[in-house]
Amino acid sequence: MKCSLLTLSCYVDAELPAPRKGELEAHLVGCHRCRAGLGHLREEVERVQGLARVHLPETSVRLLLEHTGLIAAGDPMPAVPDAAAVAGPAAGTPPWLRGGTGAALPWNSDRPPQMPRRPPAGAVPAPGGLVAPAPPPPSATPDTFDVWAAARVDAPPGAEPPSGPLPYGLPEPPPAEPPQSRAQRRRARADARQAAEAGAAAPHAAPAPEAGLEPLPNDPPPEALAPDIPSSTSDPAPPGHSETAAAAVPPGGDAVPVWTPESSAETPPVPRYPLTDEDTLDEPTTVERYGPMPAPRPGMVDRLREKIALRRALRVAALDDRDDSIEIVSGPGAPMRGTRSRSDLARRRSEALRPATRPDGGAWEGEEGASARISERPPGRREPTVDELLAPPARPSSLGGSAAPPAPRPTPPEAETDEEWPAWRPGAEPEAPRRRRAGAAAAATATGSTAAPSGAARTVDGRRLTVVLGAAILLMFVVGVASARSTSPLPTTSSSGTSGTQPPPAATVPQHPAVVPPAGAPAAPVPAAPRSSAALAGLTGTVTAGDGAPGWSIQGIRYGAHAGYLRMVFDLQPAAGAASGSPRATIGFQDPTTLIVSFDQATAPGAPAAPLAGGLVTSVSLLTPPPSAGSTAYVVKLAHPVQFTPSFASGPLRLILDLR
Amino acid sequence: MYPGQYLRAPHATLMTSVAAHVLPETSELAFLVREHLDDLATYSTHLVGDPGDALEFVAAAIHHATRYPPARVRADGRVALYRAVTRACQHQQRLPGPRQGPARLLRRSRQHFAADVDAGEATRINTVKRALMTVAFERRAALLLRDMAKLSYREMGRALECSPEAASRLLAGARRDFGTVYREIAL
Repeated sequence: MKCSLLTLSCYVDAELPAPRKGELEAHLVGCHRCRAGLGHLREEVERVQGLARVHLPETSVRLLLEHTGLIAAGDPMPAVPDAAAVAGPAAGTPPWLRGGTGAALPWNSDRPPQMPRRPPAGAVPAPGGLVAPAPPPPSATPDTFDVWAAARVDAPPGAEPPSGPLPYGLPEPPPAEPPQSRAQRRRARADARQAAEAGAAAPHAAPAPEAGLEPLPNDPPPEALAPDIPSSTSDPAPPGHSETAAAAVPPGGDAVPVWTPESSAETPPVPRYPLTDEDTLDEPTTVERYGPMPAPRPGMVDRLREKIALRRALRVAALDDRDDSIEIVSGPGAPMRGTRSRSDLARRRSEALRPATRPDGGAWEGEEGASARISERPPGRREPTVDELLAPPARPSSLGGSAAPPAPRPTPPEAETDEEWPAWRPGAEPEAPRRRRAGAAAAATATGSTAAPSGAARTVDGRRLTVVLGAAILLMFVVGVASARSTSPLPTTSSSGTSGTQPPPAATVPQHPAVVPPAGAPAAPVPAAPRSSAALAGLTGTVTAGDGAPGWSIQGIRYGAHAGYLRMVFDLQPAAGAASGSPRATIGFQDPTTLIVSFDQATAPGAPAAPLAGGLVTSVSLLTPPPSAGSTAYVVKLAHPVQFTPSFASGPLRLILDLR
Repeated sequence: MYPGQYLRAPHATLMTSVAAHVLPETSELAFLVREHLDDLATYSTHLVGDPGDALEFVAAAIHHATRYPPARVRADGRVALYRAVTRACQHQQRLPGPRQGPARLLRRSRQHFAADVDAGEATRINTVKRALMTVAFERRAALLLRDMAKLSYREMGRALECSPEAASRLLAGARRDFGTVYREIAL
């Protein structure tokens, strides 16, 4: 058989099959190594078994059961089942633990008329073991507790509650002492003091067994226990001891078996709590925690702050062009204010505290020159100095008034062309989202600056960009406000003729000019009654014809549909018998589908004739009031935007307006 | 007849049912939990190393057992409880579960469970506890299940969700690790 820890472990746990067990035992005879291992395993089992036991008080048990939903609030607690009762009483179990009704139990009908009293609290039992033992273990009497409690509950109000030992090891409340006078109390204290002195003088004195009690066989004789002390029979027994000893035998004389340690040696009661007698402590103490103390749970503000800091760090890392681009923005190492970061302070502190020279006699890194420092230190871990942070390399003002030539692609800095520096990757520069650094990088390239881009400089640039944007927004706002104040108000709606102060630039076209309606003119709502003077002032595409001779009258309007165009003819006649020349006609678009035809110094005897149905002109009406006194204007509504060509024809005089 | 009578002595008929209005399974489980609660708390305490957390895990395990009671409470209810406690300790399950979202701000503070620990043992066997905490979780669980809870290999297999052979191997390894560390610490 080979030595096996697994087999030994199973053997310790009595889980080994019988054949294997025999083999192992035979092996153990000759293998001292396995014997030692077996001893170690048994020691470890004992150590683990000796760990502290946890006991939950009733309040916590109720709370736990209520929280888990096993019982409702206010329900009675489930009783602790009795393991001994389930398993059946063993042979050496005391009579009050055997499950039956013992003769000495208080609820037994055959019990003696007077039950022995329990020793008072604090009474020391006799070492001989002849006194009544301590109350039974708590796990052994739940049933008796039930019956005992039921008996107490069912008892009539006037009846005396049954006496006897309380189950579960509960301490019995001290009996109510009768009222004593002061002298009696003083006498009692003196007696107690004398008894204490006697006990101190003979600490190991064993009281003599009472008459009628037979000492146990293994009890040492009193002489052997206290050879130098007089016989204890003459000493007064401690208070309570005689009562306890006498209580072992009921007055009735029944031979009630007395529990002794020897009787329970075969089946010791299962210890529950505390585990051993020597470790009995009244007050529980807190258990030492294992390992480091857990950190307290951060509050909501702290968690939010950490999240924001992490997001900022990730954003900066994404914008950074370095490989190990993680900028600490919170916690240790984070910049505190402005350009003074914790790392900067730590570096300054280390520089201030370090000795003048290195232990090997050499100079420190920072004292060998800037070129050596740059060549030795990797660019990604280089900490920007305060001067670099305050004076960024790329500023337009530092170019000496000359604009930097546009660089389509930035060239690598000279420092990066060094062999010890990592190879510059031309493709990485335009790909990275470095919009903030684009201008600065170009300027730095143009000026030949060798300063490597750093996170702090980037932060400064970002702040500068923010300031510039803010200033631009503010400037735009101010300009907008100023322009709004300087803008002339809207033209008034009055028709007093004051609009003639700025007449529209009407181009005098000789003949047959083709006027195009405003293509991009906004589709303004058509007024029901167009303003006369204002309407003429606001016309677009205005064309003026005629020499402005007065004395003409408009007799009528004729329409002629031709291929591709519609001709409108305004027939004119002298109003006062004779007239020369031609009146001034002003034609213009009020909107793309409204044409205004105005005649100065001309009158119209009646309403114009209706246009052709379904034609280009939908309606023609007189403009009221007229643009000026003595003038006549027509409002021509069109089906769609057209171009017009005005011309005068003589014999008789007429204005021909071709719409196409 | 009342639920949980199998746990009682035959003559203890005066005991009234504490959960007559509750489902029989619940009352049986209540009896079972009440019976083994101290052992479960002891096991959990030494498994996780902290009494407060241990009671929270025990509560979570019992809550889980109430929602998913074992099929045979009488046969393997104890093992099921140990299994639930082991899983709760392994996965740090607490009672009630942590609320998510803004409900966390409205969470009421629940009264914590308290436990009395044997003070003398707790302070005296510190070396044992330190050595025990160095052992892996599953091995530590196997060690405690065997030496403290007195479970057999078969029951350990159910509690640890493995075969009895694997449980025995876990236990042997746990004893080896524990003994090695303890001897180093004790020196």
